[in-house]
Amino acid sequence: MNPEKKTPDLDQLKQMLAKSYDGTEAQDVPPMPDGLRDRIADQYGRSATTPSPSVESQKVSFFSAVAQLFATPSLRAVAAVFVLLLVATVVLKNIPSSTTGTLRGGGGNPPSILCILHGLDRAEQDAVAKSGLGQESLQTATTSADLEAALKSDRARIVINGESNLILGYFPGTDIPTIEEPLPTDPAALTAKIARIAAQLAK
Amino acid sequence: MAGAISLEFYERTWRAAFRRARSPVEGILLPNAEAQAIVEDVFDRLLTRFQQMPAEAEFTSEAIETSIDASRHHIASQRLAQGDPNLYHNPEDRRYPANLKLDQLQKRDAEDAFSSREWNSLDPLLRPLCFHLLQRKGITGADAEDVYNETFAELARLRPSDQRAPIESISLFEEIVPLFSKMIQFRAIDWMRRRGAQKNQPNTQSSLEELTEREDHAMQFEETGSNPHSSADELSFDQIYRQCEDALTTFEWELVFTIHVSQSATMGDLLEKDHILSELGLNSRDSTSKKRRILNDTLEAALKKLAHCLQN
Repeated sequence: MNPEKKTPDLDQLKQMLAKSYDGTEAQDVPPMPDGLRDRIADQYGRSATTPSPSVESQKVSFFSAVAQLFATPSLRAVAAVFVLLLVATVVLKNIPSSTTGTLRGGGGNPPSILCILHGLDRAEQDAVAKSGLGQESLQTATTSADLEAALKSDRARIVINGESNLILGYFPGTDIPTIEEPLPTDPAALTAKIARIAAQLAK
Repeated sequence: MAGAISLEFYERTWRAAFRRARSPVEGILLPNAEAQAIVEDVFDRLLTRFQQMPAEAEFTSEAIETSIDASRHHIASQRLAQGDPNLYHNPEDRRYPANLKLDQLQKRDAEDAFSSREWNSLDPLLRPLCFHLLQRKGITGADAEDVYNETFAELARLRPSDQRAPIESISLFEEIVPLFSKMIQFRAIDWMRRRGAQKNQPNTQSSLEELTEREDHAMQFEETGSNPHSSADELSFDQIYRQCEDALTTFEWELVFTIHVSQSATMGDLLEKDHILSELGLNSRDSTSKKRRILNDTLEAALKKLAHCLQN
C-alpha cells in the first residue's frame, strides 16, 4: 500500500474522528476533581499518587509565573532549564530527609530525583550545562545507551526526552515508567507538568 | 500502555464527558455543578468496573456514552418530578418557542393511539424545521407537504417489530428534532427513489458515499439546527466506537484513537513505545523508514475497516 495515497473518504473519516471528541481545556469546563485524579493514579498507576491541591497549585502557580517569561515555543529548552533548576532547588529541598537518607551517596543530602535530558539539541544541552545544576541532579544522555545507563539509577527519575517528545517518571527501584506524559510545546504547560511529576515522585 | 499512566488522558476524557453531560442533546444546558456530579459518578462507576487500566478508546467511549445516558435520565426524571418540560432547556436555543410535554405526547389511549391534545401543538413546531430541511434537498411545494405528512404520521405509528412508535423512543423533548430530521431524510430518500424510478433511472444508493458524493443526486446528511452528534459526518466517538467496536482489534483502536481521535501522540511518538513496535512485528533496531511504513500501513488498514463499518 502506498502510504501517500489517501482516498477522499479516509480524509473525511479522519476529520470526523478528530471532531468526535473534544477534550480540550476551556474556562467553563471544571478540572477533574483531585480526589478522582488521586484515585486514578492510585488504581492505575500502582503506587503513583497525586500531590495535594495546595502543594500542586502552589508549585504550578510559581512555575507558571516563571514560564510566562518565555512566550514562544522556540524557548522551550530555556524554559526546561528553569524548570530543572526549580525542581532541583524547590522540590528536592522539600523532600523529607528520611527519604533521601536511604539513598546512596553518603555525604550530604543527595537529591532523590534524577533529571535526565535526552534528545535535546546542542544549544539546549549547552544551556543546561550552563545552568549550574549539579551533576547529582541532572544528567544528559546523548545516546540511547547513555539513557539506558542513566535509567539504571535507583533514584526516582524524570526523563525529558526530546526525541520521543515524552516526559517519563520513574519511581525509585523501578525500570518501567509509572508516569508518562507528552512533552508539551507550551512552556507553561511544560513547567506545570514537570512540577506535578516531580511532586508525585517526591511523595 | 506498558504500565505507564497518563493522567492527561483521563483529564481529557473528563472534559469530553463533562461537555456531553452538560449538553447531552442540542438545546439542553445543565448547570456545571450538576453536570460535574454526573460525570464524577460515571467515573466512579467506571473505575469500579475497570479494576485494571482499560484501553483508552474503550474507557473514552464508556465515559462519554454513560455520561450522556446519565444526564438524559437525570433531566427526564427532574422534568417529570417538577412538571416542567422546559427545565434545563437552553434559553439560547431559538429553534422553536418552548418544549411540549413529552409524557403527554407519549401517552396512549385505550386503543393504543396517541390522542393527546399536545399533538396539536407539535405540528406547527416541526413543520417549519422540516420544510426548511426539505427545501435544502430540493423538495418543495406539494411534494414537501406529502413527505412531511407521511413522516408526521409515522411518528405515532406502532412498528410491527416491537409495537412501539418512534415518539416513544426518546426521553427528552429536544430529541424530537434530530429524530424527526432523520425520519424526514429517509422519507426524502424514498421520495427521490420513487422519482428516480419514474424517470427510469435506477438508483440503489447502497452507501453513504453514494448518497452524499454523487453530484447528480447529492443527498446531504447534515442536520444543521438539530443534534450535532447525530448526523453521519458528526458522530461522537462513543457512537463510532459502539457501532464498530468489533470491526477493529484493540491494537487498531489504540492507533486510531491516539493518532486521529485524541491526537495525543504523533506517529514518531508511537514508534518509541516498545509494545507498539512489538505489535507491529518490529524492533527498535529497524530503520525509521521501515517503522513508519509499517505503522502507516497498519493505521490505513484500520481506517479502511472503520470507514467500511460506518458506511454499512
